Amino acid sequence: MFDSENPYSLIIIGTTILLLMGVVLIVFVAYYQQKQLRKDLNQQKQIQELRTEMQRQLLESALEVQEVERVRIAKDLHDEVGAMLSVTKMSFNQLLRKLDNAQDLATMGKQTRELLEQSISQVRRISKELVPSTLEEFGLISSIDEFIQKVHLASATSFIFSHEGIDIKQRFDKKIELTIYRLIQELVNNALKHADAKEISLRLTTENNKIIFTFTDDGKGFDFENTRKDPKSGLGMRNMESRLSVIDGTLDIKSQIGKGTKTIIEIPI
Amino acid sequence: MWERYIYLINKYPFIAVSDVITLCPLLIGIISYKYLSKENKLLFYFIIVHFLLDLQSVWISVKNQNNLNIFNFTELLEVTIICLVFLQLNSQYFKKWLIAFLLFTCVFVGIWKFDFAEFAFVPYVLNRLSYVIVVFIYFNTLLSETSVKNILTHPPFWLCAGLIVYSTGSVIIFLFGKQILASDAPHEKFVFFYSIISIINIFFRLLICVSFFVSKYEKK
Repeated sequence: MFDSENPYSLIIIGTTILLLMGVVLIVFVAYYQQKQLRKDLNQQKQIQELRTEMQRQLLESALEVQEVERVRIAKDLHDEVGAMLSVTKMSFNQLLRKLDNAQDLATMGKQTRELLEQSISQVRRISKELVPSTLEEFGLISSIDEFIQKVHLASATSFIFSHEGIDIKQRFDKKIELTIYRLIQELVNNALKHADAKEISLRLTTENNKIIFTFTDDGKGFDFENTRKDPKSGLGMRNMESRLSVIDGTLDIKSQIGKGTKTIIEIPI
Repeated sequence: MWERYIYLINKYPFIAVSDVITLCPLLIGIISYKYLSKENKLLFYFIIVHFLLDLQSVWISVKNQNNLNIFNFTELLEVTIICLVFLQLNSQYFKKWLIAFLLFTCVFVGIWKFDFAEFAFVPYVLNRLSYVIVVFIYFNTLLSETSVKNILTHPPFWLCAGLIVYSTGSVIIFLFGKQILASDAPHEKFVFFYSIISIINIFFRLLICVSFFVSKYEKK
């Protein structure tokens, strides 16, 4: 088609080749820049994921350390302080028997013994609260049951607890059970301390490989957004979120002033 | 005079279209003016001047006088503006220095080889080679930094694309300009090759339109 001897043909061929090279260059730059950008974004995403995972692991370790420390304190209280107090009580009983004749001293002694008994039961209670032994031995349902019965006895609040589709003896992952138990402690504490709740409802179900825990109280309610932003009052909420993040759980709180609070927790099994 | 103008349009249709197409970046520039970056505004002012110079050259050609001095002057102005645009686009000292050196060389050669009666082919070739170099410098910046999220809405990319098409499509023609575009060259060859240059010019102006048009999206 082109005469290679003809300089005009060579100019056309040269121009066409250069033009094509130019177009290829433009397409290449556009493609390569997008590729680079995607690569960079992926790297940033991976770094972010690593950071999140590291934070999650740190939090998990912190919670584990906290639990270990709770166990140690509970053990020390029960085995050492509790034992010492029991021995003191026995020794005191012996002393009282010898002081039967001295009426005044005997009365004082009885009062002191009552104080000792109270101290022993307080130490036992604190020790038990620090480590939910029922949770470890009998599972989540029994421990929640025991916990709400105790709170019910100590307060005027009534509790409704239902666990649809979950057997009383059913066990979940240790971390999940402990997280739910601690969250219930926090939620009940909030409902009694801040919301003045008269009735608390706890509902535990499983659905689509998820544990769904619904906590409802008829208390004062609160402004969720403002409380969350407040560094002091939002601490409990953030703690709950942190605990849940370790086990990939989610927290949804719905509250209106004067209309109580509803908290829905979802945890993948 | 009007008959002469119609005669010229019929004789050089691509050149006429190329002149009219200059209106497109002008109009899109006016519409998108508030979205234009500093560099694109400079380019927009150049388009206005270019359009006025085109009108003047058409007027002179209608009067049957030589208008190549205007073409050569436009070329000199064009290389100055393009280099200034790329000086603003690049922030690295070495790149700025290199572009400034190219600008100085092109302006110097442009003035030195300025011709009132013929195309000044040496500056034309040198300017196109300089455009390729400044575009390469900018592409290097573009690829080494990933600050641009969507290259298709990045106005300088379209300007670079236009410059590459403009330079690669016409550099060889101007390189052999004495044989094909000079006044003593065969007329049919002149018309053919100058039509190619006009088509390339049309593409360049359309890509400048895109550059002005996408400014809105990048700013958003």
